[in-house]
Amino acid sequence: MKDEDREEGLEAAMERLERIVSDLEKGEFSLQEALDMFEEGLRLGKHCKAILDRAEMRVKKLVESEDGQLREEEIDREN
Amino acid sequence: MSFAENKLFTVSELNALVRTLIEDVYADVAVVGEVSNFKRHTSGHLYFTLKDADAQIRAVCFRGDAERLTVEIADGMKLVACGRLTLYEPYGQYQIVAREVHEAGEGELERAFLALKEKLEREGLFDAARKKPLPKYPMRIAVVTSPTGAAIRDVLSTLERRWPCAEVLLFPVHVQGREAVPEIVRALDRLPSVRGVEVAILGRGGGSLEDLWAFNEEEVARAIHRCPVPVISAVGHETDFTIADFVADVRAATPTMAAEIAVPDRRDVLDGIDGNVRWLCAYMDNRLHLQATRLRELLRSYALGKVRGTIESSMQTLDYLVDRLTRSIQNLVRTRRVAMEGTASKLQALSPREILSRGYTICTSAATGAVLKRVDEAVSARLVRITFADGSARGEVKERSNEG
Repeated sequence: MKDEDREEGLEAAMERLERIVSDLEKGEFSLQEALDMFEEGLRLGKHCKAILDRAEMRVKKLVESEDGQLREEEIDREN
Repeated sequence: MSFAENKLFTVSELNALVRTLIEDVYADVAVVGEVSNFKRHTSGHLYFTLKDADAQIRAVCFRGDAERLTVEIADGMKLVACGRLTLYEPYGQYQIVAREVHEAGEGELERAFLALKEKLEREGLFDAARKKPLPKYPMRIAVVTSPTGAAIRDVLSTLERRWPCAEVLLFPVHVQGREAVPEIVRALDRLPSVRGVEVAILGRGGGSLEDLWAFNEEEVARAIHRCPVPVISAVGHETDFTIADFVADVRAATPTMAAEIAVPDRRDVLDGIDGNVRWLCAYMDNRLHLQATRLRELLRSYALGKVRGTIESSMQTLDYLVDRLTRSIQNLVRTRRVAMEGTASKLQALSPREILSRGYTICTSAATGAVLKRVDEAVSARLVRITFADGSARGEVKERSNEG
Protein backbone atom coordinates (compact mmCIF):
# COMPACT_ATOMS: atom_id res chain seq x y z
CA MET A 1 0.00 0.00 0.00
CA LYS A 2 1.45 3.39 -0.99
CA ASP A 3 1.82 5.93 1.73
CA GLU A 4 -0.67 8.29 0.14
CA ASP A 5 -3.29 5.57 -0.12
CA ARG A 6 -2.63 4.75 3.46
CA GLU A 7 -2.99 8.28 4.67
CA GLU A 8 -6.09 9.13 2.71
CA GLY A 9 -7.39 5.74 3.66
CA LEU A 10 -7.25 6.31 7.38
CA GLU A 11 -9.03 9.63 7.74
CA ALA A 12 -11.63 8.81 5.09
CA ALA A 13 -12.15 5.28 6.39
CA MET A 14 -12.62 6.50 9.96
CA GLU A 15 -15.17 9.03 8.78
CA ARG A 16 -17.08 6.44 6.76
CA LEU A 17 -17.17 4.05 9.68
CA GLU A 18 -18.53 6.73 11.98
CA ARG A 19 -21.09 7.76 9.38
CA ILE A 20 -22.32 4.18 8.99
CA VAL A 21 -22.90 3.98 12.72
CA SER A 22 -24.72 7.30 12.89
CA ASP A 23 -26.81 6.50 9.80
CA LEU A 24 -27.91 3.16 11.21
CA GLU A 25 -28.63 4.80 14.52
CA LYS A 26 -30.92 7.38 13.03
CA GLY A 27 -32.23 5.96 9.81
CA GLU A 28 -34.66 3.37 8.63
CA PHE A 29 -32.91 0.80 6.55
CA SER A 30 -34.15 -2.49 5.23
CA LEU A 31 -32.54 -5.61 6.61
CA GLN A 32 -30.52 -6.09 3.45
CA GLU A 33 -29.30 -2.49 3.39
CA ALA A 34 -28.44 -2.66 7.07
CA LEU A 35 -26.52 -5.85 6.49
CA ASP A 36 -24.56 -4.30 3.63
CA MET A 37 -23.66 -1.32 5.79
CA PHE A 38 -22.75 -3.61 8.67
CA GLU A 39 -20.36 -5.59 6.50
CA GLU A 40 -18.81 -2.40 5.12
CA GLY A 41 -18.38 -1.12 8.66
CA LEU A 42 -16.55 -4.24 9.74
CA ARG A 43 -14.29 -4.06 6.71
CA LEU A 44 -13.46 -0.41 7.42
CA GLY A 45 -12.68 -1.18 11.03
CA LYS A 46 -10.32 -3.92 9.99
CA HIS A 47 -8.63 -1.66 7.43
CA CYS A 48 -8.08 1.14 9.96
CA LYS A 49 -6.69 -1.20 12.56
CA ALA A 50 -4.25 -2.62 10.01
CA ILE A 51 -2.89 0.86 9.37
CA LEU A 52 -2.65 1.73 13.05
CA ASP A 53 -1.02 -1.52 14.00
CA ARG A 54 2.29 -0.60 12.45
CA ALA A 55 4.52 -0.41 15.48
CA GLU A 56 7.85 0.69 14.06
CA MET A 57 8.08 4.42 13.46
CA ARG A 58 10.23 5.40 10.52
CA VAL A 59 12.47 8.45 10.84
CA LYS A 60 14.14 9.96 7.83
CA LYS A 61 16.47 12.90 7.37
CA LEU A 62 15.87 15.40 4.59
CA VAL A 63 19.10 16.13 2.81
CA GLU A 64 19.53 18.69 0.10
CA SER A 65 21.88 17.67 -2.68
CA GLU A 66 23.92 20.09 -4.74
CA ASP A 67 21.36 20.36 -7.48
CA GLY A 68 18.78 21.47 -4.97
CA GLN A 69 16.92 18.16 -4.88
CA LEU A 70 15.65 16.95 -1.56
CA ARG A 71 16.42 13.39 -0.67
CA GLU A 72 15.09 11.31 2.15
CA GLU A 73 17.70 9.33 4.03
CA GLU A 74 16.87 6.65 6.50
CA ILE A 75 18.56 7.35 9.78
CA ASP A 76 19.71 5.07 12.47
CA ARG A 77 17.71 5.82 15.59
CA GLU A 78 20.78 5.75 17.76
CA ASN A 79 20.91 9.44 16.95
CA MET B 1 30.67 43.90 -16.30
CA SER B 2 33.41 44.17 -13.75
CA PHE B 3 34.99 47.35 -12.60
CA ALA B 4 38.35 46.01 -13.69
CA GLU B 5 37.29 46.27 -17.30
CA ASN B 6 35.98 49.75 -16.91
CA LYS B 7 38.32 51.63 -14.72
CA LEU B 8 41.41 51.05 -12.71
CA PHE B 9 41.06 52.52 -9.23
CA THR B 10 43.76 53.53 -6.89
CA VAL B 11 43.26 52.40 -3.35
CA SER B 12 42.41 55.91 -2.23
CA GLU B 13 39.85 56.32 -4.95
CA LEU B 14 38.22 53.03 -4.10
CA ASN B 15 38.10 53.71 -0.40
CA ALA B 16 36.64 57.12 -1.00
CA LEU B 17 34.00 55.60 -3.26
CA VAL B 18 33.05 52.94 -0.75
CA ARG B 19 32.97 55.46 2.04
CA THR B 20 30.40 57.53 0.18
CA LEU B 21 28.42 54.41 -0.53
CA ILE B 22 28.37 53.34 3.10
CA GLU B 23 27.60 56.80 4.43
CA ASP B 24 24.71 57.26 2.05
CA VAL B 25 23.04 54.00 2.93
CA TYR B 26 23.72 53.82 6.64
CA ALA B 27 23.45 57.39 7.77
CA ASP B 28 21.46 56.39 10.82
CA VAL B 29 21.87 53.00 12.35
CA ALA B 30 21.66 51.30 15.73
CA VAL B 31 23.69 48.25 16.56
CA VAL B 32 23.87 46.10 19.69
CA GLY B 33 26.92 44.17 20.77
CA GLU B 34 29.42 43.45 23.46
CA VAL B 35 32.20 45.96 24.08
CA SER B 36 35.81 44.93 23.83
CA ASN B 37 39.16 46.68 23.33
CA PHE B 38 37.79 49.86 24.84
CA LYS B 39 40.25 52.76 24.85
CA ARG B 40 39.84 56.38 25.81
CA HIS B 41 42.30 58.36 23.73
CA THR B 42 44.01 61.41 25.15
CA SER B 43 42.17 63.42 22.54
CA GLY B 44 38.98 62.56 24.28
CA HIS B 45 37.75 60.28 21.51
CA LEU B 46 36.59 56.80 22.48
CA TYR B 47 37.54 53.74 20.48
CA PHE B 48 36.12 50.30 20.98
CA THR B 49 34.88 47.16 19.27
CA LEU B 50 31.36 45.82 19.33
CA LYS B 51 30.96 42.11 18.82
CA ASP B 52 28.53 39.22 18.93
CA ALA B 53 29.08 35.48 18.62
CA ASP B 54 30.00 35.58 14.97
CA ALA B 55 31.33 39.02 14.05
CA GLN B 56 32.66 42.35 15.21
CA ILE B 57 32.74 45.98 14.14
CA ARG B 58 34.98 48.91 15.02
CA ALA B 59 33.38 51.86 16.76
CA VAL B 60 34.41 55.40 17.61
CA CYS B 61 32.73 58.06 19.64
CA PHE B 62 34.18 61.51 19.10
CA ARG B 63 34.92 63.81 22.00
CA GLY B 64 31.94 66.11 21.61
CA ASP B 65 29.48 63.22 21.79
CA ALA B 66 31.61 61.29 24.24
CA GLU B 67 31.38 64.10 26.78
CA ARG B 68 27.59 64.00 26.64
CA LEU B 69 27.38 60.26 27.27
CA THR B 70 25.60 59.16 30.38
CA VAL B 71 27.09 55.70 30.23
CA GLU B 72 30.55 54.66 31.32
CA ILE B 73 31.66 52.32 28.55
CA ALA B 74 33.63 49.29 29.65
CA ASP B 75 34.79 46.01 28.20
CA GLY B 76 32.28 43.19 28.45
CA MET B 77 29.34 45.54 28.60
CA LYS B 78 26.37 45.00 26.35
CA LEU B 79 25.83 48.22 24.45
CA VAL B 80 23.58 49.79 21.90
CA ALA B 81 25.42 52.30 19.74
CA CYS B 82 23.45 54.75 17.61
CA GLY B 83 25.10 56.76 14.90
CA ARG B 84 26.31 56.61 11.34
CA LEU B 85 28.49 54.17 9.46
CA THR B 86 31.56 55.32 7.67
CA LEU B 87 34.80 54.02 6.25
CA TYR B 88 38.05 55.15 7.73
CA GLU B 89 39.80 55.66 4.42
CA PRO B 90 43.44 55.36 5.46
CA TYR B 91 42.81 51.81 6.77
CA GLY B 92 39.96 50.83 4.53
CA GLN B 93 38.12 49.89 7.68
CA TYR B 94 34.47 50.50 8.09
CA GLN B 95 33.20 51.58 11.48
CA ILE B 96 30.35 53.08 13.31
CA VAL B 97 30.60 56.62 14.51
CA ALA B 98 28.46 56.57 17.59
CA ARG B 99 26.84 59.79 18.65
CA GLU B 100 24.91 58.14 21.44
CA VAL B 101 25.13 54.90 23.37
CA HIS B 102 23.12 53.19 26.04
CA GLU B 103 23.27 49.95 27.87
CA ALA B 104 21.47 47.06 26.30
CA GLY B 105 19.71 44.93 28.78
CA GLU B 106 16.89 42.66 27.97
CA GLY B 107 15.18 45.97 27.31
CA GLU B 108 16.71 46.38 23.86
CA LEU B 109 15.78 43.01 22.56
CA GLU B 110 12.36 43.29 24.08
CA ARG B 111 11.80 46.60 22.43
CA ALA B 112 12.76 45.12 19.08
CA PHE B 113 10.50 42.18 19.78
CA LEU B 114 7.51 44.35 20.60
CA ALA B 115 8.04 46.57 17.59
CA LEU B 116 8.14 43.64 15.19
CA LYS B 117 5.23 41.96 16.92
CA GLU B 118 3.12 45.05 16.52
CA LYS B 119 4.09 45.45 12.89
CA LEU B 120 3.29 41.87 11.93
CA GLU B 121 0.09 41.91 13.92
CA ARG B 122 -1.06 44.97 12.03
CA GLU B 123 -0.31 43.16 8.79
CA GLY B 124 -2.52 40.32 9.90
CA LEU B 125 0.09 37.60 10.18
CA PHE B 126 -1.25 36.52 13.56
CA ASP B 127 -4.92 36.45 12.58
CA ALA B 128 -6.76 33.46 14.00
CA ALA B 129 -8.85 33.20 10.86
CA ARG B 130 -5.90 32.34 8.70
CA LYS B 131 -4.53 29.63 10.95
CA LYS B 132 -4.70 26.28 9.23
CA PRO B 133 -6.38 23.31 10.88
CA LEU B 134 -4.21 20.33 11.74
CA PRO B 135 -4.78 16.99 10.03
CA LYS B 136 -6.49 14.43 12.23
CA TYR B 137 -4.33 11.41 11.49
CA PRO B 138 -1.07 12.63 9.95
CA MET B 139 1.11 9.95 8.41
CA ARG B 140 4.05 12.10 7.40
CA ILE B 141 5.29 14.62 9.89
CA ALA B 142 8.13 17.07 9.30
CA VAL B 143 10.28 18.28 12.17
CA VAL B 144 12.45 21.36 11.61
CA THR B 145 14.96 21.57 14.42
CA SER B 146 18.51 20.88 15.42
CA PRO B 147 19.50 17.25 14.81
CA THR B 148 21.14 17.18 18.22
CA GLY B 149 19.71 18.31 21.49
CA ALA B 150 16.72 17.64 23.64
CA ALA B 151 14.04 18.98 21.32
CA ILE B 152 14.32 16.35 18.59
CA ARG B 153 14.71 13.58 21.15
CA ASP B 154 11.57 14.65 22.97
CA VAL B 155 9.58 14.96 19.78
CA LEU B 156 10.66 11.57 18.47
CA SER B 157 10.04 9.72 21.70
CA THR B 158 6.60 11.30 22.10
CA LEU B 159 5.63 10.53 18.50
CA GLU B 160 6.80 6.96 18.84
CA ARG B 161 4.85 6.46 22.01
CA ARG B 162 1.62 7.85 20.65
CA TRP B 163 1.61 7.35 16.91
CA PRO B 164 4.30 4.95 15.66
CA CYS B 165 2.41 4.28 12.44
CA ALA B 166 3.61 7.62 11.06
CA GLU B 167 6.77 8.57 9.25
CA VAL B 168 8.91 11.42 10.59
CA LEU B 169 10.99 13.61 8.30
CA LEU B 170 13.70 15.54 10.05
CA PHE B 171 14.86 18.79 8.48
CA PRO B 172 18.11 19.52 10.34
CA VAL B 173 18.83 23.23 10.90
CA HIS B 174 20.84 25.48 13.17
CA VAL B 175 18.51 26.94 15.74
CA GLN B 176 20.80 29.79 16.83
CA GLY B 177 23.72 31.69 15.43
CA ARG B 178 24.15 33.20 12.05
CA GLU B 179 23.09 30.17 10.05
CA ALA B 180 19.80 29.73 11.89
CA VAL B 181 17.57 32.20 10.09
CA PRO B 182 18.49 31.31 6.51
CA GLU B 183 18.39 27.58 7.24
CA ILE B 184 15.02 27.73 8.97
CA VAL B 185 13.58 29.87 6.18
CA ARG B 186 14.90 27.50 3.56
CA ALA B 187 13.50 24.46 5.35
CA LEU B 188 10.06 26.03 5.61
CA ASP B 189 10.13 27.05 1.96
CA ARG B 190 11.16 23.55 0.87
CA LEU B 191 8.55 21.74 2.96
CA PRO B 192 5.71 21.85 0.45
CA SER B 193 7.88 20.09 -2.12
CA VAL B 194 8.27 17.08 0.16
CA ARG B 195 5.72 14.49 -0.89
CA GLY B 196 2.83 14.03 1.46
CA VAL B 197 3.97 16.14 4.41
CA GLU B 198 0.85 16.93 6.38
CA VAL B 199 2.09 18.86 9.38
CA ALA B 200 5.37 20.38 10.56
CA ILE B 201 6.83 20.96 14.00
CA LEU B 202 9.27 23.87 14.22
CA GLY B 203 11.17 24.29 17.42
CA ARG B 204 14.10 24.14 19.73
CA GLY B 205 14.88 23.62 23.38
CA GLY B 206 15.16 26.31 26.02
CA GLY B 207 17.72 29.11 26.09
CA SER B 208 18.26 32.79 26.67
CA LEU B 209 16.45 35.46 24.70
CA GLU B 210 19.49 35.74 22.44
CA ASP B 211 19.56 32.00 21.91
CA LEU B 212 15.93 32.01 20.81
CA TRP B 213 16.32 35.16 18.76
CA ALA B 214 16.20 33.49 15.36
CA PHE B 215 12.55 32.71 16.08
CA ASN B 216 11.87 36.42 16.58
CA GLU B 217 13.23 37.37 13.21
CA GLU B 218 10.93 38.78 10.58
CA GLU B 219 12.15 36.45 7.83
CA VAL B 220 11.32 33.38 9.86
CA ALA B 221 7.89 34.79 10.68
CA ARG B 222 7.16 35.41 7.02
CA ALA B 223 8.42 31.97 6.03
CA ILE B 224 6.02 30.38 8.55
CA HIS B 225 3.24 32.59 7.26
CA ARG B 226 3.65 31.58 3.63
CA CYS B 227 4.19 27.90 4.33
CA PRO B 228 1.12 25.96 3.11
CA VAL B 229 1.82 23.10 5.50
CA PRO B 230 0.35 23.64 9.00
CA VAL B 231 3.14 24.61 11.41
CA ILE B 232 3.25 23.88 15.13
CA SER B 233 5.82 26.02 16.90
CA ALA B 234 7.63 24.80 19.98
CA VAL B 235 10.33 27.22 21.00
CA GLY B 236 12.02 27.19 24.34
CA HIS B 237 10.30 26.72 27.63
CA GLU B 238 6.68 27.11 28.60
CA THR B 239 6.90 30.83 29.28
CA ASP B 240 8.89 31.75 26.19
CA PHE B 241 6.85 33.40 23.49
CA THR B 242 8.55 34.18 20.23
CA ILE B 243 7.18 35.83 17.10
CA ALA B 244 7.22 32.40 15.49
CA ASP B 245 4.76 31.24 18.14
CA PHE B 246 2.33 33.99 17.16
CA VAL B 247 2.52 33.31 13.43
CA ALA B 248 2.41 29.54 13.66
CA ASP B 249 -0.88 27.73 13.21
CA VAL B 250 -0.58 26.28 16.69
CA ARG B 251 1.80 27.13 19.50
CA ALA B 252 3.05 24.42 21.80
CA ALA B 253 4.73 25.22 25.10
CA THR B 254 7.38 22.54 24.63
CA PRO B 255 8.56 20.16 21.90
CA THR B 256 6.91 17.25 23.72
CA MET B 257 3.60 19.04 23.71
CA ALA B 258 4.02 19.87 20.04
CA ALA B 259 4.21 16.16 19.30
CA GLU B 260 1.16 15.54 21.50
CA ILE B 261 -0.76 18.16 19.57
CA ALA B 262 0.40 16.90 16.19
CA VAL B 263 -0.83 13.34 16.54
CA PRO B 264 -3.61 11.54 18.40
CA ASP B 265 -2.97 8.67 20.75
CA ARG B 266 -3.21 5.45 18.80
CA ARG B 267 -4.88 3.67 21.70
CA ASP B 268 -7.72 6.16 21.76
CA VAL B 269 -8.31 5.77 18.05
CA LEU B 270 -8.26 1.97 18.30
CA ASP B 271 -10.73 2.14 21.18
CA GLY B 272 -12.97 4.27 19.03
CA ILE B 273 -12.87 1.75 16.21
CA ASP B 274 -13.59 -1.13 18.58
CA GLY B 275 -16.48 0.80 20.01
CA ASN B 276 -17.98 1.36 16.59
CA VAL B 277 -17.55 -2.27 15.58
CA ARG B 278 -19.10 -3.47 18.83
CA TRP B 279 -22.02 -1.13 18.24
CA LEU B 280 -22.53 -2.50 14.76
CA CYS B 281 -22.59 -6.09 15.98
CA ALA B 282 -25.03 -5.25 18.75
CA TYR B 283 -27.21 -3.43 16.26
CA MET B 284 -27.24 -6.37 13.89
CA ASP B 285 -28.03 -8.81 16.68
CA ASN B 286 -30.92 -6.66 17.71
CA ARG B 287 -32.33 -6.35 14.24
CA LEU B 288 -32.16 -10.03 13.55
CA HIS B 289 -33.88 -10.72 16.83
CA LEU B 290 -36.63 -8.32 15.91
CA GLN B 291 -36.96 -9.92 12.53
CA ALA B 292 -37.16 -13.38 14.04
CA THR B 293 -39.83 -12.21 16.47
CA ARG B 294 -41.83 -10.66 13.67
CA LEU B 295 -41.57 -13.82 11.68
CA ARG B 296 -42.78 -15.93 14.57
CA GLU B 297 -45.76 -13.67 15.03
CA LEU B 298 -46.53 -13.82 11.36
CA LEU B 299 -46.40 -17.58 11.43
CA ARG B 300 -48.67 -17.64 14.44
CA SER B 301 -51.16 -15.39 12.69
CA TYR B 302 -51.03 -17.60 9.68
CA ALA B 303 -51.66 -20.67 11.79
CA LEU B 304 -54.66 -19.00 13.39
CA GLY B 305 -56.09 -18.18 9.99
CA LYS B 306 -55.67 -14.46 10.59
CA VAL B 307 -53.61 -13.87 7.52
CA ARG B 308 -55.56 -12.12 4.81
CA GLY B 309 -55.37 -12.64 1.10
CA THR B 310 -54.96 -15.91 -0.67
CA ILE B 311 -53.04 -18.71 0.89
CA GLU B 312 -50.50 -18.53 -1.89
CA SER B 313 -49.62 -14.89 -1.39
CA SER B 314 -49.41 -15.27 2.35
CA MET B 315 -47.14 -18.22 1.95
CA GLN B 316 -45.14 -16.33 -0.54
CA THR B 317 -44.68 -13.47 1.90
CA LEU B 318 -43.66 -15.82 4.63
CA ASP B 319 -41.31 -17.73 2.42
CA TYR B 320 -39.75 -14.57 1.19
CA LEU B 321 -39.27 -13.34 4.73
CA VAL B 322 -37.74 -16.57 5.86
CA ASP B 323 -35.45 -16.64 2.85
CA ARG B 324 -34.23 -13.17 3.47
CA LEU B 325 -33.73 -13.78 7.11
CA THR B 326 -31.87 -16.98 6.45
CA ARG B 327 -29.67 -15.30 3.89
CA SER B 328 -28.97 -12.48 6.30
CA ILE B 329 -27.99 -14.89 8.98
CA GLN B 330 -25.80 -16.76 6.57
CA ASN B 331 -24.11 -13.51 5.64
CA LEU B 332 -23.65 -12.79 9.31
CA VAL B 333 -22.20 -16.22 9.84
CA ARG B 334 -19.71 -15.62 7.06
CA THR B 335 -18.74 -12.25 8.42
CA ARG B 336 -18.72 -12.94 12.10
CA ARG B 337 -17.96 -16.58 12.17
CA VAL B 338 -20.66 -16.89 14.74
CA ALA B 339 -22.39 -20.22 15.19
CA MET B 340 -25.81 -19.05 14.12
CA GLU B 341 -26.27 -21.94 11.76
CA GLY B 342 -28.58 -23.61 14.25
CA THR B 343 -30.91 -20.63 14.09
CA ALA B 344 -30.78 -20.63 10.31
CA SER B 345 -31.82 -24.24 10.02
CA LYS B 346 -34.55 -23.84 12.62
CA LEU B 347 -36.05 -21.00 10.65
CA GLN B 348 -35.80 -23.06 7.55
CA ALA B 349 -37.84 -25.79 9.20
CA LEU B 350 -40.64 -23.33 9.96
CA SER B 351 -40.92 -22.31 6.35
CA PRO B 352 -44.32 -23.29 4.93
CA ARG B 353 -42.64 -24.62 1.83
CA GLU B 354 -40.49 -26.86 3.98
CA ILE B 355 -43.53 -28.16 5.78
CA LEU B 356 -45.36 -28.79 2.57
CA SER B 357 -42.41 -30.49 0.98
CA ARG B 358 -42.49 -33.01 3.77
CA GLY B 359 -45.85 -34.14 2.52
CA TYR B 360 -48.24 -31.95 4.41
CA THR B 361 -50.97 -30.12 2.54
CA ILE B 362 -53.18 -27.20 3.32
CA CYS B 363 -56.88 -27.47 2.77
CA THR B 364 -58.92 -24.35 2.18
CA SER B 365 -62.51 -23.63 1.29
CA ALA B 366 -62.81 -22.98 -2.42
CA ALA B 367 -65.51 -20.42 -1.75
CA THR B 368 -64.10 -18.38 1.12
CA GLY B 369 -60.43 -19.28 1.10
CA ALA B 370 -60.60 -20.02 4.82
CA VAL B 371 -58.24 -22.64 6.10
CA LEU B 372 -60.04 -25.82 7.02
CA LYS B 373 -58.72 -27.39 10.15
CA ARG B 374 -61.56 -29.65 11.13
CA VAL B 375 -63.33 -32.40 9.29
CA ASP B 376 -66.71 -30.75 9.85
CA GLU B 377 -65.49 -27.53 8.24
CA ALA B 378 -64.29 -29.48 5.23
CA VAL B 379 -67.54 -31.37 4.88
CA SER B 380 -69.63 -28.20 4.99
CA ALA B 381 -67.37 -26.41 2.57
CA ARG B 382 -67.63 -29.34 0.19
CA LEU B 383 -65.59 -27.69 -2.53
CA VAL B 384 -62.04 -27.33 -1.36
CA ARG B 385 -58.67 -26.33 -2.60
CA ILE B 386 -55.71 -28.48 -1.65
CA THR B 387 -52.32 -26.77 -1.66
CA PHE B 388 -49.20 -28.86 -2.13
CA ALA B 389 -45.58 -27.83 -2.15
CA ASP B 390 -45.62 -27.40 -5.88
CA GLY B 391 -49.13 -26.16 -6.54
CA SER B 392 -52.75 -26.78 -5.74
CA ALA B 393 -55.67 -28.91 -6.84
CA ARG B 394 -59.41 -28.60 -6.53
CA GLY B 395 -61.34 -31.24 -4.75
CA GLU B 396 -64.76 -32.18 -3.61
CA VAL B 397 -65.33 -33.57 -0.20
CA LYS B 398 -67.60 -36.59 -0.68
CA GLU B 399 -68.05 -37.91 2.72
CA ARG B 400 -66.64 -38.12 6.13
CA SER B 401 -64.17 -40.87 6.69
CA ASN B 402 -64.45 -42.82 9.84
CA GLU B 403 -60.76 -43.08 10.47
CA GLY B 404 -59.02 -40.92 13.06
